Amino acid sequence: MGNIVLATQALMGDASFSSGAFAGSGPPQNLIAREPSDALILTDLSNLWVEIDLGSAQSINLIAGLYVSGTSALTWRVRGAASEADLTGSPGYDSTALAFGNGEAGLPHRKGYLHDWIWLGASPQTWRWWRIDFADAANPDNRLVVGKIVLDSAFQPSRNRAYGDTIGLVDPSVKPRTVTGRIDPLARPSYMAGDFSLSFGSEADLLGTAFTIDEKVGITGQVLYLRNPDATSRRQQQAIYGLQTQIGTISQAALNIHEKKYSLEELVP
Amino acid sequence: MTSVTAVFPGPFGGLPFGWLPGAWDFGTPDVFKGLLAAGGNLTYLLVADPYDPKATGEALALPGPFGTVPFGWSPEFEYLGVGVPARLASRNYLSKSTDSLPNVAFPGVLDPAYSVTASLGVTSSSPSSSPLGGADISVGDITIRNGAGLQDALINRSWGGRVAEILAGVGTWSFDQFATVLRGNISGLRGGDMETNLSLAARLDQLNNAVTRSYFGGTGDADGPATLANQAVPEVWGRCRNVPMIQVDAGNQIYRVALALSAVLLARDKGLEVTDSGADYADFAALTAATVAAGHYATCLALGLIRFGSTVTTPTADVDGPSAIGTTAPDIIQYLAKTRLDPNLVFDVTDIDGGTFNTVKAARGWTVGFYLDSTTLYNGRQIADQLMSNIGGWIMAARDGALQLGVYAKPTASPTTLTSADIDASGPTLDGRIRATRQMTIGYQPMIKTFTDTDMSSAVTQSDRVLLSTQYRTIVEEAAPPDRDAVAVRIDTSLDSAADAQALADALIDLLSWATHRWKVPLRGLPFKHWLGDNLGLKYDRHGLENGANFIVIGVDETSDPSGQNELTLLGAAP
Repeated sequence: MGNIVLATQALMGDASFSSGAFAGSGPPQNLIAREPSDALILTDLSNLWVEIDLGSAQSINLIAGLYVSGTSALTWRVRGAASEADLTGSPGYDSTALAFGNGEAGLPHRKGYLHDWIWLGASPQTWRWWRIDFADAANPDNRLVVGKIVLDSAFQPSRNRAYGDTIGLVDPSVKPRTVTGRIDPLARPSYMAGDFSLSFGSEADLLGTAFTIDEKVGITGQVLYLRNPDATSRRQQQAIYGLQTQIGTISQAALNIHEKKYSLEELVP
Repeated sequence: MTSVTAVFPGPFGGLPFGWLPGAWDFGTPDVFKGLLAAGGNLTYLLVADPYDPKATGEALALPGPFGTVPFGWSPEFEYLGVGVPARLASRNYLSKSTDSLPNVAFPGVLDPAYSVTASLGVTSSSPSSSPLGGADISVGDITIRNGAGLQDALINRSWGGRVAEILAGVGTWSFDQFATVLRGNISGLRGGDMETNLSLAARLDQLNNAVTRSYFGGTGDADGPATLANQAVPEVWGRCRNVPMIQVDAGNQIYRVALALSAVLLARDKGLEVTDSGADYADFAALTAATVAAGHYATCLALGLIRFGSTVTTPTADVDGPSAIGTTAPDIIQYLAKTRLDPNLVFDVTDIDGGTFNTVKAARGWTVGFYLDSTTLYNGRQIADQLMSNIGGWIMAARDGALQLGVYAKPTASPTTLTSADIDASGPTLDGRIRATRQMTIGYQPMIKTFTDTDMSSAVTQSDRVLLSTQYRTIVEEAAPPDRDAVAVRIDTSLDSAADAQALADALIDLLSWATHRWKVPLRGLPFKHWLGDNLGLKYDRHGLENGANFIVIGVDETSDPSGQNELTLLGAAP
């Protein structure tokens, strides 16, 4: 089990995007919009690709595809290169085709869309150009919705979260009753929420990286939380793409031990 | 793929003619049934096309002459200002790739998507002691959550008067399955950093505008002498009695009664009947050239003219307006809405709920009239309200913005009954008790011009003196309610016949001869199902409603906000 990972889309903020044919309301620039419903909508199932130019070579340890409307047959392939031509001609990094979503079912509260990621961990790849190809030729929707893509040098603290973390669904629906007691539910979309604490953090991790992330995203910028980046099952339940509910301040619990609490709420499509 | 189980019809005569097994019924599905089944789990979509005066559009130009340009060449030119789609939702929604509007993302920023309040018996055309009266509808703001500023561009669009549609459906439906639950005109825009609010006006407001008129040009003949220039030409819609007229040719004793007529039933001078020559002429010249015997009159109905054979002093006439307009309230209102508003405001045939017009015409297709004089600025809504109050009814906009009509009548048993299982835990509340009516007086056959005794010729008979000096004839219908505070109600109408006035009196006394209760019933899970004028049963284990009673829906409060409350106001006899 790997330590938690917290990623942002900061590296992609200045990126340029291109893709296969897309719908007018789903351009590739949507990949870094905050809301998952502002998505890239690829309309040609034989041309499901997106290219990202980060502007300069960046060290990337996490590649995530989020809210992807794939079937169980969906595969993806990630390549990195120093130039656009090399992406297909001579990539410096090539994940080769991988099953997307580990064969898991998408969660209903995400409209069945899938999450998946490639965690490179201690072996990051440093390239300027990145290309992701999807293959899902029999998608019954005759299109592929790609909600978000995250390329980041993500934060993985040197010591993992403390026990007692929580993760699960919040259902804001209301259930008024009629005179006879019959319930008339007014369903609202559920979303995931999670709390965890880095209770044994180093000064470098918390006053360094964690503090910088808080400065960048605050409570309105999106973050991606992976409870266990090495998970090979139940990946859908262990990832939250959303906002911080509040910023936990950093306290010094003991000598060289810093503590910070995180509280996250998911954005849903 | 739909699988069909073969179901064979019953023996001939055993089933109603035209009966179709459900499995063979591929008719249009009832979308509201689907919406009701979805409970509160609905997605609302806003579809509007505000105008962007700075955006450019492209259009094909006319092709060049044959042979001068290559085959298939299609010249295009750019123009400034186009309608820009605004597609928003109460929950994130993405249309299907196979939809008529394919792959369009509707960001979920509407909160609430809409709210509407519609009620009957609210305009001043009814006596204060009666629950009758016209309808009104007001639509709440559509709120667009915009804290992140993603919708900032909307405020630079021109929204005024553009049509906005709210559709409801389930998030998994295709766009084409969504049903229109409200259609109106955008009437305003305001907002701040957190939200933008679109004000929506019901399409009934479109009727609330000036009626277009034709004016005398002052060029002579039927166009009148110069002294009449720029005065509106009077008009008669339906049947009007003792209408005054305007002299357009003193030498020939030609008077203009109205813009056009289909019949002159009777002409008078100082109240004394003038003999009809029986002749009608096609135009002014023919009427001028004709010989009209002394004491007689001839007409040019096409131009609404009457020529007298002798000099007259105070001519009046009983007339019918153009037959194309019709003589019933539904016909006249339809003519008004389709043709007599500003061209930008007229209602298209699809904007009129023809079914309700036909139903009202079948039930109360009574002859009425409306006279438009030269000096008054007429409002379309006021005319329509007045015409409908003449037959004990109302005009309203349906959910989809189409004009619809209804009439007051005693509620009959409805297949739908509200029970405790439908009513919110807060329970129904009695909003008012309306006193019973012991006497209903209907005024009918109004004289447009009433005479005093001295206006009339001494030769006018006593019965005509009474007729011409009294604005309305009356029908009085009595009832004997047990209430000691029962009231007498009088409603003056433009109904032309005593029989129709009697029928109206009967219908209204049937409804009001018992004290009526007005109940406000908060609902759970029944939006979209009921609208003004629906008959509805109410059964509740208190307030004497234990065995159920029949009501009319006279108020609808509805909102897409789950924390809000849908409520019906019902009118029916007190138990």
